[in-house]
Amino acid sequence: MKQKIIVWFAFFMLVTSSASAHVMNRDNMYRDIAMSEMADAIVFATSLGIIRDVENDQQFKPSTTLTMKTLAAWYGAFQRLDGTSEHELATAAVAAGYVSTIEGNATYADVNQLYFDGQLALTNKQATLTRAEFAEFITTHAMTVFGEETLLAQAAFTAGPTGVVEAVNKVDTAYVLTIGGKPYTLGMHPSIIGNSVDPSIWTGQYIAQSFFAPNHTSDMHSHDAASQALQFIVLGDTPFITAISEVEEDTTATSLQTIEQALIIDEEPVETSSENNRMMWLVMFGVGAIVIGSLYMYKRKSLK
Amino acid sequence: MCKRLLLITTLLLAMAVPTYAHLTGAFADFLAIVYDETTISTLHEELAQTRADIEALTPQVAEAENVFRDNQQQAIMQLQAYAETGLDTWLTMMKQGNDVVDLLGNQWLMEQQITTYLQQLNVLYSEFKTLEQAQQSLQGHEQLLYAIEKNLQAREAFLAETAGLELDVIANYLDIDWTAEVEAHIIADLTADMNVINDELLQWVQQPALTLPEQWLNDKSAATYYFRNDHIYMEYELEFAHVLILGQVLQQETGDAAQFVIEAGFYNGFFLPEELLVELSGWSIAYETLQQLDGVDQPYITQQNGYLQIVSK
Repeated sequence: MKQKIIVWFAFFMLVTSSASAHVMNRDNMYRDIAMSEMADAIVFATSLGIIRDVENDQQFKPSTTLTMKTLAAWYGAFQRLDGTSEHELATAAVAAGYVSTIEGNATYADVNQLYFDGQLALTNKQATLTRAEFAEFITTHAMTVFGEETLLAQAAFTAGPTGVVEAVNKVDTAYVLTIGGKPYTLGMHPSIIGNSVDPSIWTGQYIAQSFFAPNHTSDMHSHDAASQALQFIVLGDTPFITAISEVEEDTTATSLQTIEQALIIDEEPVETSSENNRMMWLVMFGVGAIVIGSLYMYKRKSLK
Repeated sequence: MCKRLLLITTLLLAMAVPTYAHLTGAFADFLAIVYDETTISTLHEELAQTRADIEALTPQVAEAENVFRDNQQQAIMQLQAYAETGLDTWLTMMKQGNDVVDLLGNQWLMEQQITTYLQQLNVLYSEFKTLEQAQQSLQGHEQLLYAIEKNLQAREAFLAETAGLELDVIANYLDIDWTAEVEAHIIADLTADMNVINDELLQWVQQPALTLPEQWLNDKSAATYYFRNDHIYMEYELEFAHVLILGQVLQQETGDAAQFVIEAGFYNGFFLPEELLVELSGWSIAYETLQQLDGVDQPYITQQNGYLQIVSK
C-alpha cells in the first residue's frame, strides 16, 4: 500500500526525513498471507529477494499455483535483470536463457534447476506447487550448500547476532539494537518473524536468528541508512530456518486452536465445541476407567 | 558534444538555483517539484483496478465461506454424534468383552480421525479468511485512494486559482493559508482526539478481542482515521483545505505509552515540510490505563486493518 502512496506523491520519498524504519512481518508485508500457514516462509523468501511483488499490488495469492511466468519473473528480479513488471522480467529471464518458456505451471524440478542448479535430490520433481509452497521450499533449502554456496550467500545474507535485545535506541531515523553489549543498526525496511513491527517493543526479547544484508538502494538516500544492517530477525527461542519441522508441528497446534475459535466464536451460534468434546472424552475416559476398575475388583472378589 | 551538454546543464542549474533561493515560505521547495499532470488519471485507473479486484474477490469469498460453513455444520453434527454415542460405544465394547488395550486403541484412532478432520476444516477456514482478509484490505485501500484523490483535486483547484502567479507568490499563499486557516484547527482537533482517548480509553477497547476500532475514534473525531497494518492515515477536511497525515503507532521512548507518531503530511496535495509537521502532535495510548483490563499485562499495540490490537508481552 505504501508503494501506491508513493506513486501518487512521488516526491514523498525525496523528503521523508522524519519517517522511521518500516519493519515488515506477516501482518503487513502482503494483504493476504496473515492466515497462511506458510506466512513466515513467505516473509523470509521475500526478505531474501527471491519473491518480489512484481505486480505491485501487495497481494501474494498464497494458494495460487505458481506459474512459469511468475517463477521466471521472480528469478529475473533476483538476478537483477532489467524490468519492473512481471511480463518484462519474465521475458528478460527467457532472453537471458534462464528459462525456455513462460507458459504453464512451474514444477519443483523447475525451481530446483533455477535456484539450486538442479542439485537437490527430489522425489516429487514433476509436481506443481502453490506460491506458498514455493516459499516454504526456498526457506527449507536456504542453507543447503550447492556449488559451494547457498541461497543465503547469493542474497548477500550473512549471519547476525543472537541473544537478548538489551536496548533499542533511535538515532535519527534508524534504530540501533544493543545485543551482547554491542550496537547493531537495523535496516530501513527489515523483515521479522515476530508480532510487533515496532522495534521499541523488542527490548528484553530474545533474537534466535538474524541476518545482515545491504540496505536497498532506494533506502540509501537517507543519511541514517547504513550500507550493511540487520535485515531479517527472528524473535523468539527458535531459529526459523532450521526449525521448519517444529514450525509445522506448531502450526498443527495453531490450527486446532484456530478451528476451535471458528467453531466457538464465529458469528453463527454453535451448540458444541471441540473443547466440550475434549471434556466429554475425558469424562468418558474417567468413567470408563472407573467401570473397568470396578469390574476388575468385582471379578477378583468373585474368584475369591 | 559532451562539453556542450555540460555547459547547458551548468547554465540551467545556475538559473535554477537563484529561483529556488528566492522562494519564500515553507512550501517553496515542494512547489519546485515537477507536478505530473497524469497523476489524477493514474489514480482513477488504480481506483478502477481496485474496484475490479474487489468485485473479482466477492464470489470467491462467498464460495469459500459456503464451503467452510457447510463443512463446519457437518463437523458440528459429527462431533455431537461422537460426544453423544461415545459412552454408549464404550459400554457396548465393554459388554462384548473387549480388553482395555482395544478400547484405548479405538479411542486413539477416533481421536486421530477427529484431529485430521479438524485440520482439513481448518484449511478451508484459512482459505476463506485469507480471501476475506484480502477483500477487506482492498476495500480499505479503495477508501484511502478516495482520500488521496480529494487531496490531489485540492491541489489542482489551488493551482488553477493561482495560475499565472509567480512560484514564490504561490508558495507564500500556501504558507499563509496553512498558518492562518488550517494549523490552529488541526492542532486543536488533534488535541481533542488526545483528550477523548485519555478520558475514554477503556470505553474504546472492544472486549474480548482487546481491539481499538478506527470507527470509534472516527465517531468522536473531526478527522477520519484509516488504521492499516502498514500505516495510520488521518484525513482532515476544512472548507478550503484537505490534509492527509501519515504515521505509525509506536511505543514512546519512555516505554509507558504508544503514540501516533506523525511521519509525513500533505496539505492540498503539497508536501508538508518538517518544520510545520513537528507542530502536530499525535495522540497516545497510556499502558497504565490498559493494564486495568483483565488479562492485559505489559501491553503494547500493533496496527491492523481497521483497528489497533492490544497485545500483552
